[in-house]
Amino acid sequence: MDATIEVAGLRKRFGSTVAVDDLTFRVEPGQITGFVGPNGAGKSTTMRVVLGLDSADAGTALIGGRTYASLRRPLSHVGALLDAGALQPSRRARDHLLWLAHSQGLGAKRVSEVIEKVGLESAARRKAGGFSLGMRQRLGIAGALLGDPPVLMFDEPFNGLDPEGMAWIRGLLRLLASEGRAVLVSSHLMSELEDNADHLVVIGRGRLVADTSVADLVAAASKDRVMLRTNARSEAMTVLAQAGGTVAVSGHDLLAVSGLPAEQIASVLGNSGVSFSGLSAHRATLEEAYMELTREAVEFRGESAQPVSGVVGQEQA
Amino acid sequence: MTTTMTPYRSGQSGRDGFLQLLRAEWTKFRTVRGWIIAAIVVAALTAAAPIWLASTAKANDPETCVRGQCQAEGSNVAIGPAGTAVVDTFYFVHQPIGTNGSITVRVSSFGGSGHRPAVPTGYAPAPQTEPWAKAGIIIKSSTRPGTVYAAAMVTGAHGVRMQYNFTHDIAGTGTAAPQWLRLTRSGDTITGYDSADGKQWTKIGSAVVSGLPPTAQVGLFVASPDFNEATGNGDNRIGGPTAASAVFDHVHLTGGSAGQSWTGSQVGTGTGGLPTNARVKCHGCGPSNGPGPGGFASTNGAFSVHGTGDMAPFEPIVDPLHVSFFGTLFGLIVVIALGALFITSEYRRGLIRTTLASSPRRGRVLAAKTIVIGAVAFVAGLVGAAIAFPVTEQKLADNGWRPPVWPHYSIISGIGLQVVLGTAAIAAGAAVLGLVAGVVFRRSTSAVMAIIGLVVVPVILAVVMPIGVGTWLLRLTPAAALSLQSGVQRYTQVSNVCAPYHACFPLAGWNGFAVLGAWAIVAFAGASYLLRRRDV
Repeated sequence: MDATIEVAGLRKRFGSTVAVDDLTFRVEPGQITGFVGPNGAGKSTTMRVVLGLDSADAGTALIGGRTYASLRRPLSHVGALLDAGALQPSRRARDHLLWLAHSQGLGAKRVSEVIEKVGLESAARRKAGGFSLGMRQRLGIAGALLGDPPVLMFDEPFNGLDPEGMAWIRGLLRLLASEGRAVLVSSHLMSELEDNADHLVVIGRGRLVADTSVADLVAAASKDRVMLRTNARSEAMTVLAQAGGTVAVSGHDLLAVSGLPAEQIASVLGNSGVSFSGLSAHRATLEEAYMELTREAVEFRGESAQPVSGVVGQEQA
Repeated sequence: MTTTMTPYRSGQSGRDGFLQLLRAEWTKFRTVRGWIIAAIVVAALTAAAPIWLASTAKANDPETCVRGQCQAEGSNVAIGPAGTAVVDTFYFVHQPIGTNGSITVRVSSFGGSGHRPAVPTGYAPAPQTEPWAKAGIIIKSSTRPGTVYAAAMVTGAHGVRMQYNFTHDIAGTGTAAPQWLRLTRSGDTITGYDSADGKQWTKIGSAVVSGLPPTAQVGLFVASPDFNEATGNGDNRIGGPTAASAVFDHVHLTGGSAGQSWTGSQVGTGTGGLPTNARVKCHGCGPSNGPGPGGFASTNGAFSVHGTGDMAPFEPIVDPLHVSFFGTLFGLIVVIALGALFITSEYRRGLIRTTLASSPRRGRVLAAKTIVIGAVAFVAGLVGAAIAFPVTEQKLADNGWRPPVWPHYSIISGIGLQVVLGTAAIAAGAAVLGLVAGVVFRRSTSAVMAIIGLVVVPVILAVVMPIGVGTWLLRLTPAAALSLQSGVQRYTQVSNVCAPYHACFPLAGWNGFAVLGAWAIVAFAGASYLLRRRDV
């Protein structure tokens, strides 16, 4: 079975509200896929449909080509953390994992392993009701890891975490992806995924806004512009134009080049013997790229401003 | 993006099956300390409440009752061959019979006669002939009440019957007088026949009447049991003794001693005044207006016999054991809440998503939960009832509920096992109803209220409502299952007012439990459907 999540033409409606509208994307193994959109964009709904908790009105959601309902011992196929608060407060953390393990035919030994993996050894015998949000997130992640699944889904795992906790989760996600697992991480804050996600699925109001690699998205938002600092301004403009670039003067020793990647600019200038003192890509941040994307999406649909505050579906944190 | 790496494979393999699911749900239950405590509370309440009720319930004191309008139950009972209380009062026209012989008669007419209880205005008059009034032939050990016998008879409304030793009752083919009847004796074996014309005979049944002496008494008899009618809510009833008359002809006896003639005897006491099968409240009873003893007259081989009374097991009205076990309702309230919480707590926290994501086959999840909570409730109820039963029986005996009218049951007797296992089964059923209501409502309060309304409230309503309404409540609602806690064995051949006030349930024993079972099965199916269809 492939470690993938495939969502195709997914549609989900709650009463008169369309929570997910014709959503199609694919989560590949070996990388972290960020699932991004404002609160209420339909991320949690999509994840619940993938897990067979909500039924889709149209379309399919498959794990490694199979529907969730057809999976036997599903936790060895998909591990998910939807809501860190989904705990019986009076049950000890270890016992929470124990019943979950028993439901998959796993034993106490595996429970100890995942408790160690998430660093909850010292708290495992305490009641989960007394846990901080960070500890609950760790407990939830331990539950997701119980079956050692090739596919993992985390809904807003960074919520309420301190910087140390965020760093820990980032490291864990990276490790899981490097083991060849497909990792889907939702967030309403692009900044949380900066330098972390390899691929992005961006949704707004239940619709797909972008399905792209992080590198491509940033490049697109940066509009390919490279800033060149040189004293030989006119020579540089000539050779770069010949090489197919569009060159504009930005200052008395500063040129803005677009249409050519920085590496090619450097080699063109070097081959022509044109000296330069600085070459820097204008790099948009992921946040800028995301803001641009969602703004466009909203404008395209003729909506008013404030794209991030749209309320769609039943986001349940 | 490179995707050439080997897809990840889970290193964890476990077994998938219903047993794993059961184990998971049991782990869930046992790891919440509050639930374990609740189960112990159920056992404690189930044990304590019946004992407490039994120690506060005093039997009617015969002295005060005789002076007033009540009578202590069973003051005129005899002890039957099985050692239990029986009513054995009738008019007997008899002569001796040896080890082999037979009697054949025709009952040419039969009907209620003479005394009628005074019925207050507004209530239906007593029927002309009591449904279980009897006229027929009998072979009995002696004229002493409580001795062994076998009889064939015409009844007021139940056709021809063969009855023996008080508790046994077999239906014949005939319906009403005129009717031919025959009994044959061969040692201890007595066989009954009926016939419409005295030519074509049909066997009704055969009875081995152990202890029948070589010379027994054979003859004609008439009995007419007490009239009983509920007149309103709760405990109100009217009743009193009745009488009946029959004419017998074509009397043919074999195996008797030569030269013997027929003797009329009143078997049993208690006629001529107080009702035989005494009632707690009796209108129109008393020494002055009883039906008087029976009698007979014979002309040209035809016998006219007049009698009152009954030959039947004694059924007390009050069931003190059952009344005590109503205390288990307290435990049921807790068990219903426990059943509901077993799933509503998951809805409340969103844990139900974790449960259903780990086991997508939702019907199986509900089945596993049902088995776990049902088993927990059964064990709690069993422990509680097993402690309660012997102590309750002892307390009742101390308070005057004594044999023979109220037998003392051991926990391993039929009644003992039925009450103890029944209480456990009722607890299990109530827990399951709580659970499935939890699935339907997804909120503890609504689920618990609904099931308390379904199981506990009808019992209380049945006591205060008119007897007809109350009886129907105890037929249709799961409360019918409380019939399992009955301490009085009820017989079809005894007409008694079945009043919920006195813990009489219209469906006896496990029939009543079947109502709860049906509710649980239907509710489980509905909840399973909803659970499978709904988003969570």
